[in-house]
Amino acid sequence: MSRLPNFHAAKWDEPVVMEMGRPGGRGQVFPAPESEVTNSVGNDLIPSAMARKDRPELPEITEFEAQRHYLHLSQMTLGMMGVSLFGTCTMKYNSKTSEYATCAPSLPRFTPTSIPTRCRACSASFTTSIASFDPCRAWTSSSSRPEAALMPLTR
Amino acid sequence: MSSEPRPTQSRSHPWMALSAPGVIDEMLAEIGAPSVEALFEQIPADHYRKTPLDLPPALTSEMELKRDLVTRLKKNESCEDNLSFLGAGVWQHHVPAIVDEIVGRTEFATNVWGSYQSDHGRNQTWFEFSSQLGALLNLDVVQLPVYSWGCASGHAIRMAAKITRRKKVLVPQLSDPERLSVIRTYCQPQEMESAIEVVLVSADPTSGRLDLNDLKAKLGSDVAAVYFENPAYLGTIETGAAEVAKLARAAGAETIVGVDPISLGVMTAPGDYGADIVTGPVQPLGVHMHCGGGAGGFIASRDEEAYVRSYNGFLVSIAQTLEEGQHAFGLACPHQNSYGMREDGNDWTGNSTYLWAIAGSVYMSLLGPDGFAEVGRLIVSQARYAAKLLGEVPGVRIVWPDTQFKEFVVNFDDTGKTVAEINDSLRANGIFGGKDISGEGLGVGQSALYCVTEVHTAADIQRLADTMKEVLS
Repeated sequence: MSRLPNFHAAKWDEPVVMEMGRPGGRGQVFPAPESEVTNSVGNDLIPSAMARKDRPELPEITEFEAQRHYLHLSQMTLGMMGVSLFGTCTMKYNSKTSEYATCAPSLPRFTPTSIPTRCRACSASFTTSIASFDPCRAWTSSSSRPEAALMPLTR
Repeated sequence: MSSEPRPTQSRSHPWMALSAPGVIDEMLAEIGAPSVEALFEQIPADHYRKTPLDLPPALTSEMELKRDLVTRLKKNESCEDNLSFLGAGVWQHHVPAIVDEIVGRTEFATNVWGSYQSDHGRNQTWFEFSSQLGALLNLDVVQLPVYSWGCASGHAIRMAAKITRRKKVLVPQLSDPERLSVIRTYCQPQEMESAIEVVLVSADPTSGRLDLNDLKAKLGSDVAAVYFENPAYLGTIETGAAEVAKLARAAGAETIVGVDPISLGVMTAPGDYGADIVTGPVQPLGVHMHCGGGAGGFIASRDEEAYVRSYNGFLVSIAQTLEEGQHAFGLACPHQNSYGMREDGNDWTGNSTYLWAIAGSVYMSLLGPDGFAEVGRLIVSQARYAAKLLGEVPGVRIVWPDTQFKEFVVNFDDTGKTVAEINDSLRANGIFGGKDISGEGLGVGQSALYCVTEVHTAADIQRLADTMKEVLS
């Protein structure tokens, strides 16, 4: 076997996010309430006793800076798979099919409070998993949460 | 496992790294074991299953599995295909695209947690989650999330009992029954010396807020903590929070506050009105609903030894390394959780909640102070607007108008219809009505808990009000 380069992971000079940015920097913008809304209910809707006076000391960075920062941090993470140092939850492998099922096409936009009428796939799977270990559940429930028995298709 | 000989394998299982033909024999030879069964000799023979599991044939290929999953998932009706006003613990908020991008990075999405050395970037991201959330809360210590808000609150109550050496907690009567049941579980078992008595504090019927007279009557030298939420389960804003904290402190009790972090651009930080321990959900911070899988609960406090010594999970901290000017990240008090002391740990947490901490870190950095103010203002404005329009529908009554953040109670007693009937009619029109809370023992009659967030528009709200009028006429 040829000699391998002694490379393990990227090492960036990445500051802590709280030290980044400048006043006015922003990565996500929300619109002001529409005029029919403010005309109807007004402004300053939080009772004064509970209205925030100070600005939270959060970083002010652009979307690009956030993306680069966290991309670098992910590159400074070994990302081990199929190997366990500690056992229990870290022993399981989350197949990419399971990730696909939990993230697409509809599950992320899905709330459990609509069960059972709107969540037929989940409730059907739940029932069968109790009765007979539905393979769908067995294959995709990769969470270590005990509640996950109710949510067979979530991570 | 059975005592029968292992079948000869022609290929590995795609998801098992050490399952290629011959690998098991090589490993057995390496450790000098005669067979796999020999490794499990402590299991008595009669403990082995005699008959095969009654399972349908395995879907061995990804192609078949995906087809099966997609077919099942297509039966779902999502909150994007419909107009949803459901909340109550899992809320529909906007998730920025960059959050999905970072959370989906394989280095983060793997369930294997490495070490400080191998996972420097992950530990830094976690540290940044805690630091940024601390800035929203105006508190110094934030633990990485446990399973749920309920778990976080349950443990916070345990912390208070440990700190005060008292065994009673006061909790609002108008609590989320699910969260309250988790809290009760944390306070059990009754037979044990360490059990904590859960006493309910009634609500002021005119405002839905805590009844301060009932609170005063129940506060005493045996109370470890007063727990309340702000905004509360039914959406009301606890304007008397500072007074509650003052009363608790005077009685020598801890004040534990559950907060919705997305409210903290416009609502006072709990650290500023006397909260000693703070809990809350992480799902509003850039996590999809995931049919409930987006749950996670944080715990936070001031940086004082009594609190820090009673946490039960990951406290990621920053320290200077041996190299001048260089920093690294590690766990503070690792012996307090199962990662440091396996048998003594009482933490209930998992891979998904740690992944959501990464989502939260990215989310908070994207919004910054002004983004949180914007989203908070948008939410509270639209929620009030929805309450106002619904309140104008004949027979519909908003139980506590003008006091809510993003959720509010809509009462239908005067319509002659049940919430279940109304929600069925709304569904037929592509609308998910609010959560039916009629059967939750809260004394609110036929009522639903409506949730309005930044994802709604004025037109959506108008459509809800118009449809409501139609279905009630």
